[in-house]
Amino acid sequence: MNNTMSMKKMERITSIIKFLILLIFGVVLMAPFIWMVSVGFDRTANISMPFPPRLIPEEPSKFNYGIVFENGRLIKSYINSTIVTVSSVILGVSASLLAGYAFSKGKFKGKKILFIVVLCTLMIPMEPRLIPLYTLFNKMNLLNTYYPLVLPSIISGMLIFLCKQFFDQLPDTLREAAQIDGAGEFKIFFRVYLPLAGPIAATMVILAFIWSWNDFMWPLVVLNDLELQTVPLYLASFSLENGSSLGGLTMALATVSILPIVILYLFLQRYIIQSIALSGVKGE
Amino acid sequence: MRRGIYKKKVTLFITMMLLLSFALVGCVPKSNSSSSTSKTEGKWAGQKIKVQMIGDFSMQDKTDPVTGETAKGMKVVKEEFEKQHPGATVDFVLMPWEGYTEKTQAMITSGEADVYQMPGVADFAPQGVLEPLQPWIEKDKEFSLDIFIDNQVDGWEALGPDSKELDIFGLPFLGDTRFIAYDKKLFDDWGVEYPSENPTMEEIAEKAKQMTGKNPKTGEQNYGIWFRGDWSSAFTLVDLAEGQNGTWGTGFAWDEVKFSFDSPEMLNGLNWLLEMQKYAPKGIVSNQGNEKWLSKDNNIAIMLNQGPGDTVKPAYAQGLGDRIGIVNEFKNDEGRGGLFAGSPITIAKSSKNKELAWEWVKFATSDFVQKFVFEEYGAIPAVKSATEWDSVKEMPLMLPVFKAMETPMTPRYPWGSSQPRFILTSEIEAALTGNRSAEDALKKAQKESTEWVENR
Repeated sequence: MNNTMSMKKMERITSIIKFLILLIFGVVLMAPFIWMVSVGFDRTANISMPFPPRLIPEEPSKFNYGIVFENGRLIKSYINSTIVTVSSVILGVSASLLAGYAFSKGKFKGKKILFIVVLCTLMIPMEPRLIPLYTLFNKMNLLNTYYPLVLPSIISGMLIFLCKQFFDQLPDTLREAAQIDGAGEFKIFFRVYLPLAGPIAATMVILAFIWSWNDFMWPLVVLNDLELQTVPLYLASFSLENGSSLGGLTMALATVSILPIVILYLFLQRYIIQSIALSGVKGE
Repeated sequence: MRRGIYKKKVTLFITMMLLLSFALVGCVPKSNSSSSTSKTEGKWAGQKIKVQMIGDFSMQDKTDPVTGETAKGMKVVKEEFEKQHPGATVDFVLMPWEGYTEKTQAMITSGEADVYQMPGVADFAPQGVLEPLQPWIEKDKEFSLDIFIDNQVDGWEALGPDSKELDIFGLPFLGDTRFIAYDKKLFDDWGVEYPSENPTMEEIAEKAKQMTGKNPKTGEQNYGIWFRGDWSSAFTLVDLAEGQNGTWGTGFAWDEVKFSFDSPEMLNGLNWLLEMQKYAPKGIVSNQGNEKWLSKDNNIAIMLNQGPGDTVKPAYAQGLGDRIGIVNEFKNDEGRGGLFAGSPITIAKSSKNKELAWEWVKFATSDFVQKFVFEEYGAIPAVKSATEWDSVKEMPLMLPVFKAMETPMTPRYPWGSSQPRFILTSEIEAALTGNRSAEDALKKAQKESTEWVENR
């Protein structure tokens, strides 16, 4: 009896200790976010950042959030980013699934060389491609539209590579069986392989979403019209010449700009963790 | 039969997805809301220019995040220019500071705009993409370079694609400078005399030393000096060398540049910074320790290498305009020294309306625009007449700023935005953090910078 009592007591103490440790970790992790929201409400933080950091603003005010939403530019940039991101994700993921399947299961001449070409695109960073791509879209008279933001994302070496690797793990016998039943390539892909590609499709959607949503340099170069600005461009419009920024405004901007990513994360938490594990790539 | 239906479904699905994507992308047509249609009447009928501007400019009115006052949008400038030039149309491409070099390069390569605000004029002029402005200046009898604050035109001179002589490719649009700022209250609390107009290293060091410790009136810990150990530390050090009649080196074109990063003056300057570190708060290498600067609780007496954008408007917004003082950076025996900074305005060689572009350049450097960008956006004017404006007189701190703008080292350091700057910065950091001796750090900076120039 006594033994059971002491066991229960031990368990309770262990639970309390675990809870306290987790609570400390939770507070440590949450503190920067809470501080970020708090500084956003601090009217004086644009002149000098509150130091030492304080949770309650010295002069509480909605001023910074008012500036963030001024002239409706943030809402517009949210809409613009959504259009670009949704389009990029739909086209990029669809094309990559098809291409990944073709590279994995397809039998055609030059497959290996073509795949190497696709892999090579992974090795060329955006910077050297910037001017040639810009010139190309300029000649096509497509600058200052969403097309230059969406069209290049259709062919993503990374997504095609991920897809191919995934389809490689699925047995060829599925394809052969379907062929014996008289199914064509599209039917095999859509009826047999696509239903099995849920995890990789979710991974690709998340990666493509984060890449497209956060992309800064390319949209900066191809978009001139403030009406077409995406969220990262809008955020950058508050940066100062010396690379610094105004504390209160920056924190208010950061708070509102991470909302979509936080919401996405809440809904797709399991897939995001899986996507990082599968691809080894984190959204930047 | 079923196979046929399935094929149709698949085709329909793919078509719908593609249509949806293209519909989304295309739902906003090629747009240019700030652009206007050409006008058919007036002296400049049908002529149109596109002007690129960098910074926090906005077409619409907006709230100033520091003062809280409403700043008028650039539409005012557009309307005035179009009123002064009947029939002409000006459109703006407004861009942030972040990534401006890449965007400018892309735009100018494809002839996207006629006029550019271009801090990197020295990098673009050798590409042959900029219009030399000397012929335009000579041709235009109404225009004179005398309107600009001394040294501002020289500072932006650059080498063209074929020339060995510096030429004018840009005219000063926004001014900028570096100076030493100080807190008069702390000087008063400590009973220390304010710095002289052109202080020496010895004077600053002595005063910084005197004011480090517990403030005799408030009992708070005070620090005599602060300087940024990252980002701008290369310029701080070069100014220190210039203050001893030294120099960063010689040459302007890359094939003629010779660095003197390990000269005795540079070494003395770096040792001075190491000494000053004792009188500065911790964290200068990571841009920290100055959190209370420009607040009523400020604890730093002297701030090296400060700029007007970070000092003047915030000081007045905090009600500390009278408490802050500004004196020149360290100068050589000729009275010159320190970083030349700002933004010039240039005309693209590919511009199809160069006459109108030149009109814009003149307009942008006129009192109307200079005053407008100062009053609405806090941008520093580059014209002499600014000292007479009421809005400037209301901010007496602007007067030493204009003085400081007259005496920087010109032309602009050719390596100021290139790898040698970051090599030198990194080695200063290494010295400040104790990872290398001052001598070794400068020798390494000299070697690596020289190799970089030779291999570029």
